[in-house]
Amino acid sequence: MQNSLNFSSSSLDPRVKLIASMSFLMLISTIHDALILFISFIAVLCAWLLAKLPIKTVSYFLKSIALLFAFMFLSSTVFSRIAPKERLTFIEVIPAVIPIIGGSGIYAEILLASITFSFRTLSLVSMALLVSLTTEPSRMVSALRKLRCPYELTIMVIITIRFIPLAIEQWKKLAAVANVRGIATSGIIGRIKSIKRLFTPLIIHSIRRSMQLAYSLDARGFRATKNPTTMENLQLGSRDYLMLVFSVLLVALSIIVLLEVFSIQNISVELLKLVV
Amino acid sequence: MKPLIHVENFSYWYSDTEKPALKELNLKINKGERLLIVGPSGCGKSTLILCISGLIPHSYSEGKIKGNITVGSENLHRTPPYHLKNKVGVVLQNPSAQLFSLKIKDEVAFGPQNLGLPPEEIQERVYFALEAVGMEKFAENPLTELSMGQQQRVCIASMLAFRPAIMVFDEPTSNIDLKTGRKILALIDQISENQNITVIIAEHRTKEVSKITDRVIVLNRGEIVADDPQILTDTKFCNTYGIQPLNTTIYPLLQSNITNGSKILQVENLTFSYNNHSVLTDLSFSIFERESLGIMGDNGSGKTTLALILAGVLKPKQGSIMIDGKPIGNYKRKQAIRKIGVLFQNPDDNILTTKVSNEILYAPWIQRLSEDEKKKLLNENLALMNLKGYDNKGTFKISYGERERVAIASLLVSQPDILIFDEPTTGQDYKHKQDFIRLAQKLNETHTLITISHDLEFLSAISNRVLLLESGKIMVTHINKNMAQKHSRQIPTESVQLPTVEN
Repeated sequence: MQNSLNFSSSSLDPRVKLIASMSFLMLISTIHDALILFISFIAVLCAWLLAKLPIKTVSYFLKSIALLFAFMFLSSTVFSRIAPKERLTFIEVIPAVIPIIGGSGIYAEILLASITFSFRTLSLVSMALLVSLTTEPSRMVSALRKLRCPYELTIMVIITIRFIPLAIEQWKKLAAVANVRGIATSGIIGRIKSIKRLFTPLIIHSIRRSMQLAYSLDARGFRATKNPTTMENLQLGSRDYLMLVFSVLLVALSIIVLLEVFSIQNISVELLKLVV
Repeated sequence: MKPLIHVENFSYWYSDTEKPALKELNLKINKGERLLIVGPSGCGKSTLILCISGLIPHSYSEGKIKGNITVGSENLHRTPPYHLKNKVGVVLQNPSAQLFSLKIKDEVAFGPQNLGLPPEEIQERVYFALEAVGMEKFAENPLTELSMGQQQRVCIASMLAFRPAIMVFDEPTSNIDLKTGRKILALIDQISENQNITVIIAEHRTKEVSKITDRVIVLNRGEIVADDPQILTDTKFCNTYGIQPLNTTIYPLLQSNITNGSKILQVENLTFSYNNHSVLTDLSFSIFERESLGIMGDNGSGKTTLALILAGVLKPKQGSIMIDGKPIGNYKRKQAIRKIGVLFQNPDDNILTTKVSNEILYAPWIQRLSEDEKKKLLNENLALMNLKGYDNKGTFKISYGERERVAIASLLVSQPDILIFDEPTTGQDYKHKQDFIRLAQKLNETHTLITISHDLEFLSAISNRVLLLESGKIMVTHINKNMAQKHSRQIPTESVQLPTVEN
């Protein structure tokens, strides 16, 4: 999928992207207000639009996000409980005039809590997706290296990303072999059964493969020196510094929220009280 | 003149064996020399490659070493190959297992990065290496979409980025068709010439490789039995050691076609595409009972896809496949395996368990046959495949050829009428090929065979009829003896106008 995307060279430094998304994560974890989280989600959506990703990717993203929202909102609404003394506003879903099932509904506070939870998760997911879709994996690896992430670890990350499609390919081969030995691998039941049967051979084949890979790594001087270099020379530009300042602001804001210098946690509840 | 590589009284034992894999070897290789190492499977070729490249003992250190290998004036056992003054680069078998990066340029940059070179120099070396193998236009491409030949090129480039004085290749053309293999060899020839690199190649394809090498050594059971470039013309000597002699003749096709009897398999207007990419176009052919059909084609001609469709594993987009007058789709999986069995390319991929007896009895186990029946099937097939006494051995601890026979046995237990072999001899030595020809002839007495290969010499030895498949189309439905002779050199097929012969 990566190759179909156009990584513009004016894109932010991956290190800055990582730091900015971490600060953003910190801020939205400290906030528990539905309205502010909703605004933060909209902000991430704006960032998505600015990233100029292909329309296909964006529409796929929007669909998945809508589905995720529906699922999270419904499940948290249905399964949330609220302490009796905090129950303030009750919204009747089915009017009480209808016999037997009438009179059921939900508390507005639960709705609010669900919205809070959903938008926090959505913002996180969209942010993480945006960073990974707009960053070339190799640049991300260079960034990890520059951020003092151990070299062995970054190589492990690359190998993992690279070996997922290879494992899928191997799986298909094994499924074909199982097929000609009389195992149906199509259909839901066939698939579930084949997972059970093909998992062990897949592991065996992967281990054999990794042994060959170890030779290849050694032949190319893996760990030949203590300080391996990178081909990509990452350098911070003015936009990167701007983003860093912004990240610092985000972190400062979350500290202010945590220290409860002023209360922004109950804006939505206050608003709700005014409306109802 | 002082040799560049000096192997002195060198012996090597793997950790779990008493017999040495290499026995008191003495070998001097001069600068600029191009050496071809040949010998039957298990002769110690790969071990010698691992030793000369320094992977033994620097990567695999569990064995026992006696003697010395010096490169220039440095001892290879003390200095890892990448720290030598005369660096040794190695390209191992199976390119796809050696590549791990996400992009081609990252793969090539990996070595220089490990050496701690400055970014500018890494970039310079990456583009130099990619240019040398003709892949500079693909630097930014992902590694996942490369053909076998291109993968091999990237492997070579990633070694060139080290600027080695010596390059060692372990079967650089196995697993690739002859046409691509020739291009890879021409590339090695060119690199050696331009960069003044000493080249050492271990290969089975003596005919092709000996054209670019100037020295040949023959290994057998860990010892050098010949060191003479003319040895490959000695057919008697070559046959003794199971090496392909230079002057092999094309086998005549087997007896005239079997065109009477019943048609066991009929393919009509078969079309298959994958991700909007057409793989097979409008294929029609039929096979008679007890016939042995060869299907010839290069990598990417759609051969393996055809095998998968014939076995009912993949569903065709259009067209029909009838076995015994009934569409393949109408058979349940358990019935289909009694009609047709497929041996996939690379026996390793055909293995699902770790014990020979379990592997052979996989299908009966799935079908919950009784213990007595299973025992009977096991003994029958072990005997048939010449594997007596192997039932308790580990499937990955036996040789490549034995593993292939185990895989065939695991198909035979279902008693299929038709057997499909997909590239059964690729990357195998001459002896294995000869053995497989005998095995196929034996199986043909009781089974209908379809053999897929890019090797016409091999196909003509076991087939009554050979189809030529190219870019998913049947170009020639019937290669006769004259054509076989004409194509014996397997000239790149695009340069030849192939006549279409009526079926």
